[in-house]
Order: sequence, then structure tokens, then C-alpha cells
Amino acid sequence: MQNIIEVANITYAYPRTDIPALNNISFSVPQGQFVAIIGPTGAGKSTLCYCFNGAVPRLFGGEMSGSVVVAGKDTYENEIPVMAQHVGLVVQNARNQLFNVNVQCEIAFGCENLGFPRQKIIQNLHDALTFVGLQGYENRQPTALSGGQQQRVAIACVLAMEPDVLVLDEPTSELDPIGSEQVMETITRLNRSLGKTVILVSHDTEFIAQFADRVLVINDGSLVLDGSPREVFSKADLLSSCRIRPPQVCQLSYELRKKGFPITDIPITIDEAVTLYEGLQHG
Amino acid sequence: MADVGYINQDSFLHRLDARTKLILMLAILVVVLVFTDPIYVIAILFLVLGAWKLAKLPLNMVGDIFKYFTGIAVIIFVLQAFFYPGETNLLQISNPIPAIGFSGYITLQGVMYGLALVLRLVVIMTVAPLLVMTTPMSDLMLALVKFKVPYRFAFILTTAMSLFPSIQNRAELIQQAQLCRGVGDFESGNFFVRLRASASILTPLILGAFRDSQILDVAMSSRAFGAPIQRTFLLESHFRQADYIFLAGSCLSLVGAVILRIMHLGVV
Repeated sequence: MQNIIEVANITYAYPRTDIPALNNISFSVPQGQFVAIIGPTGAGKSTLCYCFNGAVPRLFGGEMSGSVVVAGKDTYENEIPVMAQHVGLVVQNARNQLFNVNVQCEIAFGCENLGFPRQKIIQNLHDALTFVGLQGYENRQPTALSGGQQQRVAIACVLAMEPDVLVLDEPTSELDPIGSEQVMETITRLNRSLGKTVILVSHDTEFIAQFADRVLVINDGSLVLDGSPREVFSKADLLSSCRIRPPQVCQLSYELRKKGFPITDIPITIDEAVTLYEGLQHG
Repeated sequence: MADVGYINQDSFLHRLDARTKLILMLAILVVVLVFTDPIYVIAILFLVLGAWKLAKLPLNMVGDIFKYFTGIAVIIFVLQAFFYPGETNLLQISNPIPAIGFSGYITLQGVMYGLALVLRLVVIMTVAPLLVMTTPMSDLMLALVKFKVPYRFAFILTTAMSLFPSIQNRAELIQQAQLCRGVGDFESGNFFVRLRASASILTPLILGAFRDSQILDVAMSSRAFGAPIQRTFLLESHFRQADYIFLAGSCLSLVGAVILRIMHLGVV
């Protein structure tokens, strides 16, 4: 499969600091993969997200080396609006990324900037709103929506621009459980139904264990682990040294293993755990 | 972000194209500046207030506008009444003071001109809300773009206007938060005490605005704002019959005003 993202040896420091926020990070992502990025607060996850469309270093300044290429476009050579055709970015704070008078204008904004014909904008607007389950909200004021709805509008906004990759930086960190669930469900469908490449930063390791194809662990600006959810969540010691909370079923299994239970493969979802514990009871 | 000031109603003014409304507003402003006779200006003011009524806008807002304006109006009126070089003396109040250009008399022309000037300002202040309250910000932006205002500029202008309510909200939130922490009593105390208290609102407000503006910058660029591509628009605007009638009316009143002025009518 062809790689849609190529990140090579990026090191980056924000202005007025010598400590790099990102330290020699390299990885590539094949098209259609669902990649989760986890790590403690301040590890550099958001900074990494901003690299994909060139907001780092173009908007934030600072020193950067290495290269980021998305859909064959190098962020050094292409301005953010050009990268935006390939990378859709949804940031943590839902409210601050919505700035139009109503949902319809909000979603059309990106398409208009990309010069889509009017008919196509109408079609994409309709499709995007249907996809995120907010039909009939066209004339609502974005600031008057709930946090979860705002975040889904934000997803619809980038989706309507038809990007290859969607980068979501902690989209549920400020949401209530129901809002989070709706947003996460939408993100899953982006990948599963539409085949979009998804980069998701989240602390929701339960969700990641269930839906992500691959997990990147970032700590102190470095990529410390890169593997499938099973590989990553089996490494109890490393996760705890990075102050990352693994899924609860994993935590339970670590403890059981310490107590001498014969657990070789750490379960990462509830279903797997149920099978394992039933086996332990009967065995 | 909100549609600042927009009042959702169904009226002839709401249905007019934003371009027509902009031109109409400009025509009224020019006409009102042509005349210096208060009678003419009052006639225009009544026209504008009639439009408020027809557009189903709350007339008590006009009262609010007057309330804020009274102080300035009095100053303008008094200055004109005293210093306008008129011919018909009404009242002598002192000997001539050439140093400040005061003739010593209050003249009829001065009073009339002062009155006209105040009324002109009233017209200007009641016309502007007429546009803002009947036009969604998105339509206004489109109208500016159709008038060849660069999109970037039109967007920044309308976005900045629609930012006001959210800044106000944030200021109120900060005030409440500061009160909870026992910082500042914003209502009492002398001027300096209140000034100090307001700093506890303004500092977080301004710093927060800077931080937000960076996120906004990221969000806007991420949605291809400023892409080197010919921009398209979802919203469309079309002139209807009513628009042509109002545009013709605007042109006729402009021409009419100029003719009256040439005939020395409507001037003090």
C-alpha cells in the first residue's frame, strides 16, 4: 500500500526555547490507516498534529528540521491552504475553530476557499452534515450548539473539503460522555466507511484499543513506541513510565499476571478479556 | 460567533438585496448632508423612522440611541448656535470676542444650522442600524465582495463585527470569575478604584483574545483561507423588482437633492 504520510527526522523547537518540542521523529502512514497518538500532557502530540499541514512551523515560528510530506506535498514547499486540500485538521477547542454566522456558512467556508463549484459545495455540505448526523442544522448558530455538536460540525467542515487525511487533536477532551461517544463514532466511520486516513490524538485508550490500527506513543517529544494496539498496550512498564493509562482490562490483566495467573497475551478489549477470564476460571 | 444586531423578521427591507440596502443607505447619507435646513432634515428623519416601522424593528431602540447621544448633541448645537456666522441676530449675549471668532450674537442661521447638524447625526445613527438589523452578516459580506471589496477585507470586517458579542460574553464571565475570587468590586468606589478593578477583567480578556486569535489563525488556514485559488461562493444574491425600484428611487432622490440645492432650497 502507498504511504500517504511520510514524516522524516523532524525536530522542532518553539520560538524562545532551546528544548525541542519534537525530537527526531520519523514514521510513515499507509493510506486508509487509523493511527492513534497517545502520550502524557505536554509530550508534543498537538505540536505533531500541527506539523501535518505546516501550521508548525509556518504559524508558530521556531526552528524545524526534517520533512513532512502528505499526499506527495512537502509542508516546506506548500502553504497551509494548499496542504489543507489534503489534510483536514480538527483542533481540541471546538468553539474557537468555528467562526461563521451559521453552520451552513461554516461548512461551505473551506469549499469556497478551495474554489469548488457551487453545485459541488451544496452536495458536499449536504453529505457532510448527513455523515455527522446534523441534517437540519444548516441555519443554526455554531456557538449555540452543544460541545459534541460543535465538534461534529468541525469534522463536517474539513470533511466537506474532501481531504485524504483527517487529523484530530483531542476532539473529545472537553466533551461530556454522550458528546464524546457521538464524536468517536463519527471518527470511526470516517475511517471504516469512507476509507479516510485518520490521525487521532486521544487519552481514550479503550476506544483506541478497539478501533485504531496502530498506536504511536510520544513522550518528551520523542516517538518511544510504534505498534499495533496489542503490542503497545502489552507493554505495562513502558506505559506507566510514560504516565499513560492503558485500557482498564489491560490494567487488570497486568495485576493478575503479577499475582501469578498464566496470562501470556494481554487482552485489550472487553470481549477478549471476557474470553480470557472464562478460560482462567475453567482452566 | 453571532449575527450581531440582526433581527430576524419578514419585511420588505429584509427581502431587499444587501447591495440595494448599502446603496440606499449611502443615498440617504448624501442627501442628508446636502441640506442644511432642519425642516428638510426632519423630513428625511421621518422617512428613516418610517422604514424602521415598516421593517418591524423595535422603535424603542431609537430612544436608546438618543439617550447616548444627548450630551454630544447639546455640545454640537451650542457650538453652532454661538459660532455660525449668521445674518439675522436673535440675541446679544456679550461684546464681540474676535479672538475666538464670536460676534456676540446668537443668530437665527446659527440656531437653524446647529439644529440641522444635530438632526443629520441622528439620521446617520438611525440609518446604520437599519442596514445591520435587516441583513445577515453573510449577506453583507457577499454584497461587499460584489462591490469589488477584496474578499479578505470583507471577511475580516464582518468577522470582527460578529466577534463583539463573544468578547462581551467573555468579559462577563471573567468579571463573574473575578468576583468569585474576591477580586474587585466593579460597581462602587471612586474612579481609580474602579479602574484598578477593570484591569482585572481587561488583562485576562486581552491575553485570552491573543491566544484565541492564534487558534483562529490555525483553524482558518486549515480551512484553506487565503488559498491561491479563485474563491467561489455558496450564497447567491439576485436583484428583484423591488431592488430595481429602490435603486431607481435612490438615484432620483440624489438627483433631486442636487437640483434643490442648486436652486438654493433646503439651505439656511
